[in-house]
Amino acid sequence: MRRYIDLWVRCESFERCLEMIRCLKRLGFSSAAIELRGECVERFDHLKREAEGVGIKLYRKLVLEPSTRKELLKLLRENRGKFEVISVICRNLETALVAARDSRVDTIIIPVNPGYRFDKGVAALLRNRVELPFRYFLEDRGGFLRTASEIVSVLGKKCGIIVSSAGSSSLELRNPRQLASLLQVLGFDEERALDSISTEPVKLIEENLMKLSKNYVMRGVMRIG
Amino acid sequence: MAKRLKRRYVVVMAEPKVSGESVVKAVKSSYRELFGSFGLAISGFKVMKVYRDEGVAIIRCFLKHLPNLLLATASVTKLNGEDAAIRTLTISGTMKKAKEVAENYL
Repeated sequence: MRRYIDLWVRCESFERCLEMIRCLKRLGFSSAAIELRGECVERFDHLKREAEGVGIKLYRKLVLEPSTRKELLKLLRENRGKFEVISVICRNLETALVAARDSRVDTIIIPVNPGYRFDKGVAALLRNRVELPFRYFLEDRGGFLRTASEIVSVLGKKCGIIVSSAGSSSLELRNPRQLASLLQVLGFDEERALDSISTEPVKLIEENLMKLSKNYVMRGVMRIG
Repeated sequence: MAKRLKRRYVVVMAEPKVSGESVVKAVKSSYRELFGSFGLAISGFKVMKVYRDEGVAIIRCFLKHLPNLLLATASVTKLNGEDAAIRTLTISGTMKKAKEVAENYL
């Protein structure tokens, strides 16, 4: 049976966050990566315990929106060890080119109408997964579909695509089939579309949990026993 | 030999509760906005049953166009001028099963 993960949920207040966690469970998700803001930052452990009671595993997510390459590298250096998932919103080509090939970045997010071309040059460098937040679709349907179809046609099957809700309230969350329908409309088959909210993010989180564990020495080297 | 067209029955509900007619209207206009009148016409879109006060409806479409219908339901963000979401309760191959799920939910 598939395990579904919502890789981007934005939380600002504790109560609202709890409501969203219950909603995620109702919708059929088993885990979620949460971007913490405000009071939730300090109360993450409490939130995590509450979520486990409901049946949802929580992971911390950091979303960076740097304007220069230098800023991106600095933020990555400071934060990589503290979060399970790090995503970068690429507002310009300079940050997109760095984020696409840096192994400390998990997913890159191309905003709607980015102002640069996401072409084969960027796709060739891409080592990380591309994330499509559903909230962007709700905000600007036409613009998002145009950008997303460009991304899908350039990437083809080269790298993983992940769909997340990026919701900040329970009304902005959608169930896995609804999220997957976005990729199906863009030409993916059903299995691959569902992989984008189950297999791909599960793999990503497992890799990162391994990297954050005490036994991890370096890429390809683990301490056993 | 001509292939039989497969259909799917989608049970949708509104959150928070509004009338069933509003739900159907919102889904239909969202589908038209996303895929056009032609898209709507060839999708086999048909409202099978509306539970008026419960905000639940059963919509039928061809299996081939099911992702379009799901995306149309997901893209609804407002109902009667207020923030809302449309959830799918189940996707079924028979009307009997779809009705069962809808009535269990009520």
